[in-house]
Amino acid sequence: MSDKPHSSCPSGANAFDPATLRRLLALAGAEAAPLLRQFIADLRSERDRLRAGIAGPDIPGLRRAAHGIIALAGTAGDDALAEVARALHATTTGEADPQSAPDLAQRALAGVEALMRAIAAEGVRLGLAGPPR
Amino acid sequence: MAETRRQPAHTPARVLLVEDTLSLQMVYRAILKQAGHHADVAGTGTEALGAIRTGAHQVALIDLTLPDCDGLTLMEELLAERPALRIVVITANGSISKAVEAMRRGAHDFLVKPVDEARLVGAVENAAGRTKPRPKPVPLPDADTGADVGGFVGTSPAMERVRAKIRSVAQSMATVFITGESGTGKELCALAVHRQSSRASGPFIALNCGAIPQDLLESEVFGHMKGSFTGAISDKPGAAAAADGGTLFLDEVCEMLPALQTKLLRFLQTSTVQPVGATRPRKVNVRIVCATNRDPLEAVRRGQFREDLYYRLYVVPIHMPPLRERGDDVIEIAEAALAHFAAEEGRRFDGLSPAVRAHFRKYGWPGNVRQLLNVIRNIVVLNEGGLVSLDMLPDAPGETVAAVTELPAPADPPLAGLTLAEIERVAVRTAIERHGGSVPRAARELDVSPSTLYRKMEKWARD
Repeated sequence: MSDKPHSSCPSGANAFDPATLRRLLALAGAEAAPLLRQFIADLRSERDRLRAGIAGPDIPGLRRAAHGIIALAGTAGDDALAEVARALHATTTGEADPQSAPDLAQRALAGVEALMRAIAAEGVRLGLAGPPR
Repeated sequence: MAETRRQPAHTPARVLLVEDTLSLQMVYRAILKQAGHHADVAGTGTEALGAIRTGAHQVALIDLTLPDCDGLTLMEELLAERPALRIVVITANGSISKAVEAMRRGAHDFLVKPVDEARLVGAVENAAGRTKPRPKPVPLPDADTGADVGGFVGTSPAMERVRAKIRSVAQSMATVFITGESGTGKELCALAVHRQSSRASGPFIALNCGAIPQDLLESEVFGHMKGSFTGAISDKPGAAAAADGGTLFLDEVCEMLPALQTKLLRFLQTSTVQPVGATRPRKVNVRIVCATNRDPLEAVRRGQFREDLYYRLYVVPIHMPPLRERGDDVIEIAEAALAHFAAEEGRRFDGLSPAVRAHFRKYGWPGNVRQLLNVIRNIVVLNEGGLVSLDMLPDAPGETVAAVTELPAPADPPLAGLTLAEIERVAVRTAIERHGGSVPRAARELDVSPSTLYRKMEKWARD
């Protein structure tokens, strides 16, 4: 099993660190497998919200998605994605230039999808889930 | 997977966890369970209100962004239902100002997502600890007892507001930030917060950050181990550890160097101290009260004070009014001090003459209460007794009064008559207009961050 962090975010900054997720799964004990599935389900919801926000464009929708991704990515150990989501959130509140929102939203979308794959792969490694689809 | 559970630092707490993201709900619950606490969960405000009516919860952890209601509104409804409940709010990084608002409205603490495990447990245990029976508050050393001359003597509206603020904040864990000119009684205010709090039986440790050489300040605050540096001849616990179970008062906090500000921020986030040279941090339970005679926001703007630390500390501000704005308090304080110092010196004075009273009311008192006390002590020491007359006064105040009355009025017609706060509003508004409504561009011109302007605009809109 590799402990090497792997990139889930195109920004290339601090990548997903599986050790953080493993620590949470250990804390969850018997609930580890449901927690893993729920992480992926919650990320999928935010991904869908993000997609809808990009298509709109729907700024409040993007703000809600960014808000959710900050917490999910940061908790799961993907600091780079959390950072992108924070930057996206700032564009939706007027704290940063809104012109950078489309680019940040696309990066966040790619980052969420990569994190979902990384978490699923981690589940397979730990014997908590089947192979990622 | 093996599950280990540590012994909780406090009696196990029953926590209501209000979080709509299910995975985060599961994570927070697992962390609390591992720390020996029990968490009931709710995904909406409605569920939370139902749960609080049926459970004996000591602490509620509330995500400020919920699907069916605003977290602040829910917090108020929960407190209305259960006033003894301790509330810890959780927010994403983008809504720190909302968390500060929550603290002002009665939240016990706040956590920023992603939530650190140790910080989550620490916040819950601190909050739960507060629900134990509280010792009877110690009365203030103010005019009511006459025990502390010149401190909270006075009945002006400005001081009544200060007293009311102290009463309302004392029982909370919220950090108090006291501002005011030198000599206005900031330390006495901090002591009053401590003495009216449930920590009154604990220590009150005061540290003047501006009076201690910066290279010694870290070990003064956080302590050091014997041999950790030249001159460390024995272990020293530090002010933060010495204040465990009580209050740490950091005076002139804006004078701290950036490196130590970082350590103070870490201390506030983790509630742990690590003395210089120590290998392990130690958990402490300390309430922070800090003070400055500078404008803290200006220090942030100039890059001298960390913005994140500012928001951590500037939760409940208390402004100590200068003596010149306290009306007849100056007479009450002078007479109380005269009686006190006369008793100390074994002399008998018959109060202040009408001319001295008029003079004291007119004078600007740049040194505030501290200066007034020095003047009264000077009178008592240099005179035998009787009615205090103008010729008993030391020279300095009279000279300064003359200087003050000759000061020219501000000459800029458009701003004349406006308060400093009003001038700031004018400056911000015109800058935004000049940039066609662009807040970020106006912020660049004013050399502040856009979030600073948005916060100000939000506040003005509320006012």
